[in-house]
Amino acid sequence: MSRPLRYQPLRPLDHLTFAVSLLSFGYVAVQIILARERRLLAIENEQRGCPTVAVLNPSRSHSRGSEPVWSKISNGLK
Amino acid sequence: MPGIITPDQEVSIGAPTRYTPQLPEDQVLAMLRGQPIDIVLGAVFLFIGLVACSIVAIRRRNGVRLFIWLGIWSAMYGAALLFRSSAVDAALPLALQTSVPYVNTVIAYFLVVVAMLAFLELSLGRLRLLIQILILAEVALAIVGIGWFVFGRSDDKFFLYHNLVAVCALTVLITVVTVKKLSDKFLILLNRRVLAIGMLVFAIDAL
Repeated sequence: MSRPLRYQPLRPLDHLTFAVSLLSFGYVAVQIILARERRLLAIENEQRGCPTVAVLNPSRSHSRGSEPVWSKISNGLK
Repeated sequence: MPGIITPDQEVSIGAPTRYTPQLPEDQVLAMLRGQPIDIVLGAVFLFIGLVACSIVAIRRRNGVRLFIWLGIWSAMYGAALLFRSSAVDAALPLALQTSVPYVNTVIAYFLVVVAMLAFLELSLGRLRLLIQILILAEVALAIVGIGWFVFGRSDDKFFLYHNLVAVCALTVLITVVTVKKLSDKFLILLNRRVLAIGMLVFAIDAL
């Protein structure tokens, strides 16, 4: 629209607006990732407190066979 | 006098190296005038992009795809700023200098595609489908436009259509981000305001 209106925007302003939009996107991305991590941690803590599902937690179980089950649960949340 | 080296003469020892033409100081200054901002910011955006991609490579988890697209977006923008500078262009090896116009054309067409792919990671439902259609349209235009340029024709022949699709996409996304009902329905956001402010600032400048 700037061409028909014969408005020539300042070049540094272009870079600034790009930086602002990139930062806002980055902030949103970090928020989503942190929320996901918190959710996983909460589930992990909940399972540590519950003996019936403790076998799904790789840190409690002695067999390595429980890891895929745990990773399935984690992936399902994503 | 032959055999005497004056202070303004350069002495090279060993095998001759690649010939690099020496520009006079005033020509170098004229070349750099107005370009430091582009060079510095280009390097900063490229660095941010590479850091984001490195973080994704280190974490290797699902759900960080948004970071990949943001990293590529930033790196492409930074590279475009750097390649646009004639000082950087002159400093490149001759083999790379010939490819700079092609790289600039590829970045010009695909920058919007990468930005839309970043948005696709935040979208849901029908908006996701709409963004996918717009991405397909942009990729088709980019392939045709780059092909047109490679075969020796003008690089801005399809730029009007490319800009048209980009403006449509930006208008749709701005509307969805700013209207709360729409963003609740079609976007995965924890804090809508930050993205809305960022997108509005960007849209005002871009449109």
